[in-house]
Amino acid sequence: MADRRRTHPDATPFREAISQWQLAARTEVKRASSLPSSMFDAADGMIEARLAETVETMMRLLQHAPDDPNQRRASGEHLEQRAEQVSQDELRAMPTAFGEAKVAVDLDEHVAAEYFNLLVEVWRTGDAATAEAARERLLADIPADAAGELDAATAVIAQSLRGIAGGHIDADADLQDLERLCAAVAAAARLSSGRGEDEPA
Amino acid sequence: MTASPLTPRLLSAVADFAHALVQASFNRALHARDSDFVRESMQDVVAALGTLSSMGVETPLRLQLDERRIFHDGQPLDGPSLQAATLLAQCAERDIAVIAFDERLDATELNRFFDLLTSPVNVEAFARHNRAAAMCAFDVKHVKVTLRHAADPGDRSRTLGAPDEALRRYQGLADALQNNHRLALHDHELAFDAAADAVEDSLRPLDEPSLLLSLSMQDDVDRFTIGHSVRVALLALQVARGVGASGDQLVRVGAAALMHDIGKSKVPQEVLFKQGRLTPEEWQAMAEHPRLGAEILLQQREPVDPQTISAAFCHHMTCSGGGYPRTKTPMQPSATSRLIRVCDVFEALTAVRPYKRALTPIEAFAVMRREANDFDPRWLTNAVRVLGLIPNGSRVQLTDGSEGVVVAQTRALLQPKLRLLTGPGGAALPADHPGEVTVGHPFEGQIPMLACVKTADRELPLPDVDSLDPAGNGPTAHDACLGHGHSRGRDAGHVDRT
Repeated sequence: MADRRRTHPDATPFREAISQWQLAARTEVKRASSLPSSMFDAADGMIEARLAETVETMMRLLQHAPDDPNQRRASGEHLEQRAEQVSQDELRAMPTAFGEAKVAVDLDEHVAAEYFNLLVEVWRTGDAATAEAARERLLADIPADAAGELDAATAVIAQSLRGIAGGHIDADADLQDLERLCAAVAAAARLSSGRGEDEPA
Repeated sequence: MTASPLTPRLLSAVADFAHALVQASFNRALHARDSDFVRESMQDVVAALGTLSSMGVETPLRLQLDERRIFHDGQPLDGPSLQAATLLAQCAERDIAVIAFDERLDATELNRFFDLLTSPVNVEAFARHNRAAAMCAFDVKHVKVTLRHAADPGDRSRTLGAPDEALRRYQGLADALQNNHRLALHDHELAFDAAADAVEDSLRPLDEPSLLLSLSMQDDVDRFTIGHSVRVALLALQVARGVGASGDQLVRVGAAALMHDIGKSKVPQEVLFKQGRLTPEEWQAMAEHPRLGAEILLQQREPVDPQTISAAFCHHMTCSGGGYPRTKTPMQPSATSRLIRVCDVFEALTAVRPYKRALTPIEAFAVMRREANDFDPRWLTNAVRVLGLIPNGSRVQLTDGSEGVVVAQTRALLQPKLRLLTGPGGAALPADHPGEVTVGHPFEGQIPMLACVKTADRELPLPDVDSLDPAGNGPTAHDACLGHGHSRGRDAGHVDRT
């Protein structure tokens, strides 16, 4: 599509044109209104605003809209205004759907388990610095006896797996991975046994 | 050329300009002065000034400042003021009461003006009333400042907006969060205690408790995540308080909610601020923010509260195990993370974004109810019961044409208590009218019913309360989470970029 601005080199600049249109529209509405001019703004400024917006929208469409709507879609330049639609039936159902009283919730529910799993996750998957930070927090925040149990459980699982794997685990990296995996298994086992849920993190 | 007083549309355009100015001020604090990002935000200010000029607003455009607010022509611009703590502090330090912007101002010169505002040398210059020399030294010609002692009394604020105390607390939260985002971006140690202190401060009783939350309903054009996070924190605090959380729990929940998006400080800005649809690669980068947030918080020398770290990591996880980030370790979000998720999505749905209109609260809750598996039904119910389907501050119209503002909730969700603004058909209220009615309760021989909720850009018709289906209509959030309801099976990506 040809750029209309280029076809009219002497045309009024866009913003100035909008401004002129707004002024003209405002003047016209005030002239046509039976309200005195001084009352007009105070009484119904929104009419003026809405008219000005309409004019501006028309101007923008004239200035920018491509001939082919598909071309506009493909350009990706426009903003996609999403509008969630909610039906009257859905609104009507709301008071009943939320008719019950407030429900008591313990804000500390699952906090310890969530934090523990998060630390294990970051320890397993984070970069070196973050994994180290997670390890330190695990050691610092998990009670010593629990950490001791965890280490013992990890060692047992690791030993068993090495036995199963035989000579297939050689590299240090593999061993480290194995130890991390074992720690996660031990942590999960510890959690599923019910301990840790109530411990202060 | 300008009409006096300004029409709502023009005042809104002035507020847009002030928003752009505040955003530019924030970006100057966050990024290098010559970065593309700063340059773009300076250009945004100049463009907003150009728009004002083209709309017929007289320039130089004068903004008046006090310690808490930005005003134009005596009208408080509460929306931009909420985010303006940095700019207001810089101006207060230099005793600046009025800033006037000439339409010939360009982005480079505006950047120089911010040099002047951020340079400690100029505090002394201004204190000696050498502002003209300071402005000259920085080659600033199209911005004029008036010092407080010299300001025309007419430039002082004449009308009150939001009460000072509520505004101060909101700004305290926004300021603490802005500072932490800036520190995180530059890999510095966070000022977590300042965030917790701001939350604690926000919890102190106010004369009118709903004021702080009503501030959170202010529209803003925050391109960062500050306004969003502050609003999420206020919503979470309100809901948690509504179910009887202790003071200590509230501080931890509030701090966790305030910091939940700290990972976004590490998301590439071109992704974070993109106004169109994200590509899959961009979505992937955006979806990293929970993990990045947890990593930032974990690496602090001074240990951060575990609830804050976990909420940063888990606030996009659903109660049914979906959402993101995907983990190798099975995760079950805590009650705190689930509460923050509900508030996070509610805030996103009810906020204006470049790519979507704002839903009203009742619509937002309806949309969340559709996706009930994604949310803890207990928190969804609590949020509805505490905030209301038509929250306090909502403007409504009654079936007889009267208009009013919701001032209190009742047990019946669509029957709030109203302060009437007009009588039927927009007529003035009689002098002896008590001014307040409760929807659905007889008043002067009539039973007022809600007709619609009015927002800045539209009216949402409400269903007739008489025809409410007492048996319910469709599955409830509880049903769905227990597996008895239908769900459209939304992916986590459906929700807005919260």
